[in-house]
Formats: sequence, structure tokens, C-alpha cells
Amino acid sequence: MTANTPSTTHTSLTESDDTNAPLLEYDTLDVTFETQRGDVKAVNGVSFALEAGEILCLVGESGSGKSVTAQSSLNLVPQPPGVIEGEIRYRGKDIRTASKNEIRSIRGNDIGIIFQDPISSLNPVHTVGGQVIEALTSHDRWSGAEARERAVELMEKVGIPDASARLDDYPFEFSGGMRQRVMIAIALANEPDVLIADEATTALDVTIEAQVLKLITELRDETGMGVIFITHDFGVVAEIADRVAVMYGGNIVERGEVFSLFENPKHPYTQGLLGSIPGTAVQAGADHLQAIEGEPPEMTDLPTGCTFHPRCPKAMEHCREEMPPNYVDSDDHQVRCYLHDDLPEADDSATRGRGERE
Amino acid sequence: MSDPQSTPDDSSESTPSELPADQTGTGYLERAQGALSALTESRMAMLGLVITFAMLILALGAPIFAPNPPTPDGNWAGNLENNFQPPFWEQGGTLEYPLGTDQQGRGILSRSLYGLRLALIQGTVPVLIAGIIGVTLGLVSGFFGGWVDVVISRVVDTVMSIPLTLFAIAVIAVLGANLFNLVLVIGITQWVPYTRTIRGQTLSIKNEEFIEAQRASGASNSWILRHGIFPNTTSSILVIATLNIAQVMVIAAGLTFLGLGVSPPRADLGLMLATGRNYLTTAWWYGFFPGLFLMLFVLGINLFGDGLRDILDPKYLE
Repeated sequence: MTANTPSTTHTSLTESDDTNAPLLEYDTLDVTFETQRGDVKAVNGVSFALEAGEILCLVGESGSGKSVTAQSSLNLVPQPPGVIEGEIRYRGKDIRTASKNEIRSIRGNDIGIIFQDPISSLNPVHTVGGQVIEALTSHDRWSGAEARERAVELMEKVGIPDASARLDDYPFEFSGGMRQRVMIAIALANEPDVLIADEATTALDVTIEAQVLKLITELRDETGMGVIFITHDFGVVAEIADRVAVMYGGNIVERGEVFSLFENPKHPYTQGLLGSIPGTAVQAGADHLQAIEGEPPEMTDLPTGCTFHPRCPKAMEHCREEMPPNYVDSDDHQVRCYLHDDLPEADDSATRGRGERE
Repeated sequence: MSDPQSTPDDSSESTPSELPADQTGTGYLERAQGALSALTESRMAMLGLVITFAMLILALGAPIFAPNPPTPDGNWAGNLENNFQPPFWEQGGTLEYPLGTDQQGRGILSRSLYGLRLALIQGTVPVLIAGIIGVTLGLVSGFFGGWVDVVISRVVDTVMSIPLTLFAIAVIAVLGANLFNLVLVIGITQWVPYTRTIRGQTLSIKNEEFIEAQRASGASNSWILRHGIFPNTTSSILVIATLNIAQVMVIAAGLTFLGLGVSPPRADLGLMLATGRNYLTTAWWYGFFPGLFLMLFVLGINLFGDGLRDILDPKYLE
């Protein structure tokens, strides 16, 4: 199974690449959908960077902008109604200004994405093998019998038994878990540098989920790809994450190393999330699970100041007026909350009210 | 989490990995059998299929079956002494002309069989033309949306508001009445239902996650249209086209009846109906049998098309 480590590096964009640039970098990303009911501000100034070989978990409740962030990194957000501002840089190259052909060569080739719903992510009228082979041949890196061979190899790698016999089956002959593995095989077909898994295991049962998570970490170790793993399951986060970013109201409110964040959550929202997990809450000696009061914000009408203040148990007058800047401590643990206790003031750019540069 | 020693391959024990290698690709056969058994269960569809097949065989084998065929260069040798001979079971009828003869003494059966061949051409060629135009416009209109969609939708509205007969008279008056023009005129007026249906389906399919997944793996618009969306619309196209064949046959016969289609002496069912109408009181068989053949052909295709629609409609199986 190690036979298919990349023999050559991707050449599509490497010539003009800045070698010091992070693998994938989001810089004050804004995504707004202009609807008839008003502008939906799905993503609000998200900034973070993904390094090669790391697994970054993006967590947050439904509608916090996780998936839109992921989709915008492949320019998959429909425009219109979507309006994207800010920059998304892949190896220093802004995806927003890349040409159609450059985007197409990045898609699948450099950045692979796994969608949430395995049931609807495969075209029902083509064979499973055909769809894997299509992903392989679409970037002219494999062809003919070689592609078929590699398709079998990939499908075996993601744990599909008897892969060569099942190549000619149709998606309806596969279970949900098997289809999700096929989706992973397709996403990994061209050995991307970045894998974005958009709730890739949410629809799977726990045993399959464990296998898929193991597979992703193994592949990361093997190929050194960077992974953005979107989930709302802290169990999954604890299992695979190197770093965690917590999203709320279209913004990253806290992020840091996984241990630092779990042991010392600084944002009231992160604290609330961790406090509402049955296992950890009981361990901490709680009698009752602590739910976060209130509703997620209406994305057409975000609260002023800190987007979390209407639900925050520790909200102060100042929170209503201004979004807290990003405070960074020595461990690169960042939080956007005035109650950041011992955190020193962040660098200058943070005082602009949103975003930061590392 | 699971046992750290377990690999994803462990799951092979729980799934049928013992499938013999020769079962690869049985999917096609099973699906074909499934469709066939659904078809045989529907009696009307089977009846339609049998009638359609019988008519196809009669049409394609007309030179073999026809007792009084035309000369190889397509001339119908009439024999005026034998004109208006009734079918063989009536008084004065002979087995030489089983269904009687027309005003020029040509066999009604033979001419009807050759008429079926023309009906087949008149049924399928316009459907091909209409299908290609309609499906392409529907896919493009639904997929790209925006001004493209607006323009195509307005053209559809415009075409729908033009009466077919009037349009056909105008075009054929300019181009001349012959088989080619007839087929062309029908073809370029029949694409509207394809466009409307395929546009609607494209609108819903293009938002499916598998299309986004294909886009995310670098597929181009044209690839997505051809390989992603089009195959998902084929069952609708098949149903519309089948039923459209029957419609188009009747339209063609109707236009020929009005003198806008095939001209004599070619054996055309519509033409025979038109001429036979004049002799309905004295020689009923002249108009009756061509009409019967046309009706059976159209009925067979319609029954089959209805059955096909039911089978391909997922709700039917519930």
C-alpha cells in the first residue's frame, strides 16, 4: 500500500510559490450571501493558516460558517448570491484571483474535499469505479489500465473489501459507510496537499467513523498533507486534532493546540461547548449538563459587538459595543474575548477589530 | 475508539469478500432483468410492446410480406381492371389482393405495409431532431441560468404559441412538400417538451451534492453537463421520446392528409387516408385499413411508452 507515494511533486503552481508561505491561509475572509431577506453574513473575517502535516479541526454549531469557509477555499461558493472578500492563499497564491483553469487544477489535484453526505455525493448513474477513475484521469496524471489499477489500490486503501470486483458496482449497491470511503478515495486520488473533510464522518456509525479517522491520520503521516477537519463532535476533535479552531457566528472565537484548548478553554462559548459534553461534564463533577442558553444568532442580523454576547453568561457592557480583538498568548492560544485573563495584548493588527496576522 | 491494531481492512470479514471473481459486472444483467420483469408484469406495456414489435417487423419486412410489391425502382404498377376490388372475404375479393385494391388497382395491404415504413421514418427522425435540439437547450438553460435561461425560456414560450399547422403550411409553402421538409418541420416544432422537462431536471440535479463533489475534484462545466447531469435525465428523455414518436406519427399523417407532406404515388398512410376518404361509401377498405395500421402502430407505442414511464418512475414501485 505504500507503493503509491508521490513520485513527483505537484507542478501546477509550484513555480511561483512562496516557499515560506503556509500551505493554506485564510486572511480576513468574508463570505456574504445576498438574499431577498437580507445579507447573510456566513463568514466574518476568518483568519487562520494550515501547515503541512497538521490536522486542524474546525468546530462550531450549525450555521457558524464552517462549511462555507471550507467551500470557499476551492472557490465553490456560488457567486452570486455569495460575495467573497479577503484572501485565501494556497502556497501563497490567492485562490480568489486565480484563473478558471488554475482553480480547476487546484481542485482535486492540490486540495481534495470530502463532503458530509455520502449518500448524495456519488453520481447514481455511474459506477463507483468509474467515478474514482474519472478523478484519477481528470488531471492527466494517470490513464487507462494504470488508472484502473490505482483505483483498485485506492479503494483497498480506504478499506473497501474485494475492491477489484466492486469497481463496476453502482453507488446504490454500497452502504453509506462504503460510499463515504469511496468519497475519501476520490478526494485522495491525486494525492492532494490539503484534504478538507466537511463533516466527513458525521453520517457514519461510530465503528466506521473510527476507521475513517484512523485512515485520515495514517494518510497524513504517510503523505504529510494538511487536513482541515470540520466537525461538531469534540470526541472526534480529541481523537485526531493537532490544533482546534472554534467558530461562532461566522468567526473564529478561539483556537490553539488541542491540549491547551481542552484543558484551558478561555472563551465562554468554548467553555459552554465543553461543558455540554456528557462525558467531560460528569468527569468535572457536574450534576447536570450545562446547555448554552439561547439560540445561534440570526446570520442576517448579527448582534453588535461580540456576536456571542446575547448568550454569554459573562457578558459585560463593553461586549455589546465592540467585537473583542484577538488576544494571543505565548502558546499561540488565541481568543477573542475581553475576559482573556492573563493573555497579553495581541499584535497591532488585532486592534483593528478583526483578524490578525501571524 | 477502536482497537489501535485494527486496520480498515478488518471490515472485509463482515462483507461478502468471497464473491467469485466471475460475478464482476453482474450488475448490468441484474438491472436489465429487473426492468424486464417490471415490464412483463405490466400487461398493457407488454401488449404495447408486442404490437409495436409486430408493426416494426411488418414495416421492416414489407418487401417480404407484401403480396403486390412495387417494382424495385419504387413504381407501383397499377392494374385498372382490378380497381376497387374488395377484401378477400367479401364477394368479388381475391386472395391475390387480401385487403382489396384502390382506384388504380394497387393492393391496399402492400401499400399499407410500405406506408408503415414511411410512418416509421416520420415518427423517429423528427423525434431525433427534436430530442437533440430540446435536450441540449434544456441542459444549457437549466445549468447556466441567468440570461441564457431567460432567452431560451422566451423562445420556448414563443414556439409554443405558434400553431403547428399554420407554421407547417408556411414553411412547406416556401420549401415545397416532400418527406424531408415534412420531417424537418415537425422536428423543429417538437423540441419544446424536451427543453421544459430537461431544464427542470437540470435545475434540481445541478444542486445535488455529487455535482458539487465533481466540481470540487476539478471537473469543467461541459464535463459536468455531459457526464454528471445528462445521464441522470436519460430516463425522462426515453419516456418523452417514446410517447413523442406516436404523436409525431399522427402529426405527420395529419399534415400529409392536408397535402403538406408526402406526395403521390408514394405509399403513405396519411395520403391513403386522404384519398380513401373520397371513396368511403363505395370502397370502405381503402381508407379503413391504412387508418387501422396507423392506429395500431400509434396505440402500441403509446401503451409501451406509458408502461415505460411507470417503470422508470420510482414512485411506481412503492
